[in-house]
Amino acid sequence: MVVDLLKNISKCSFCGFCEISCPTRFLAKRNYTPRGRINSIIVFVDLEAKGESLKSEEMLKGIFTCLGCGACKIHCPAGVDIPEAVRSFKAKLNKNSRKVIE
Amino acid sequence: MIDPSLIVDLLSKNVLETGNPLGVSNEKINNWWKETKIKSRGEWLFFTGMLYQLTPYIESLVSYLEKFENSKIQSILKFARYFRFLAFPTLKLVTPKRSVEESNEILKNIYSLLDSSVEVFYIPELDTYNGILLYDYGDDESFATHAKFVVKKLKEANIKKIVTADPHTTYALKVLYPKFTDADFEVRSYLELINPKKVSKNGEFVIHDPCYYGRYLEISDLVREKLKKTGINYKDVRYSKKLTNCCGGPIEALTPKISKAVAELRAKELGNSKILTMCPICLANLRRVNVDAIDISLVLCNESGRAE
Ligand code: SF4
Ligand code: SF4
Repeated sequence: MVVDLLKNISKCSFCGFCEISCPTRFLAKRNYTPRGRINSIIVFVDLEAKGESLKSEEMLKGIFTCLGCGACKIHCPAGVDIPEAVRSFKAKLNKNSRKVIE
Repeated sequence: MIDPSLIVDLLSKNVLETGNPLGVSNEKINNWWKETKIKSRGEWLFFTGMLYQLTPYIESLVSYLEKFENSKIQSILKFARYFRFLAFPTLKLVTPKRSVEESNEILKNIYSLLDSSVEVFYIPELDTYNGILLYDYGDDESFATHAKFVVKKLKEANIKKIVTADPHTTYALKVLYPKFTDADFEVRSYLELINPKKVSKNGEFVIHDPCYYGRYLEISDLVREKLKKTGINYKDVRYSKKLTNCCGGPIEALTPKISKAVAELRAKELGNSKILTMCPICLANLRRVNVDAIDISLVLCNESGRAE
């Protein structure tokens, strides 16, 4: 599953075509948009590979506010399945500790 | 935001122990069929997935969660499962009776529409929560366990064809169950099977396509064909069908405030006409921002409330 997630997110070129369609983009923070969410996952996976961890409340909020609505997916020229990437990342977080909100 | 770990843990405990996200047996909330002439044999099993029945209670819960979103008191959710038997009667008391009645009425109408179109039957003991919230929140393990439990019951009853009431249950049974279990049922939304007759409904409606029907299952055009047959006057907004925008409902239990803000955005796009919804979550979440919305099944039937 992690391999599928990596294959999926590695296609992202950060072009931003997906951004305009996201209903949570009005929250005006980059981690509340599709590209921002993909970026959070990439940073998390990178740090994890180095033995470090990204335990930030903001990152978690960005991920868990994704509606899974799929509005972004049809705009991605690289074919990233953004809602599935975010959802399977939630599954990964469920396996690690999700508890970062005090 | 409510800590996701609190919500996911509570949900999975409740679903795995009782089969229901509220931690009560399905019989306590599944009452629509008691005043309906249901058949116990036929071609298509009607399977509600409990979403219409659950939504009035979830809405009451969300109105309380909204009060302590971002507050430290939310950690009391950790103990909610220990007070399960106390929690549901309290929730029942604070849930508006008319919301429960409306959900029952919607399900009766859907069954009636089906009954006049195909050989439908209903077995209350086989109807179970679909598990979709576990999947949405990324608890794949619990979702798979619950899905296997549901599929086993259906297979033991020799069920082959299933007709559903809402988009989440349709997607779960049609797409997710075959991925997570050995399910191989033929699954259709009721909107695909019904043959509605002409109805007399005044005014203009605007359609809100749920994400699962508009994008994931792509049945929006078919819904419009059915509406045309009834003579109902409807219009589409720019963001409809595949380009539909979300009602905000999927995150209402984690962050009711953001969920409501998303509903406000969608309501603006839909304008001032009466909104037609096809999903209990869309109906409830759009109504949180005070729009005039109605479930499509109540419109597809004649004034009597039943299909002829
Ligand atoms: S459109 Fe696709 S490739 Fe471009 S930023 Fe979004 S996810 Fe990445
Ligand atoms: S699936 Fe998530 S990231 Fe994509 S548009 Fe919907 S809320 Fe935004």
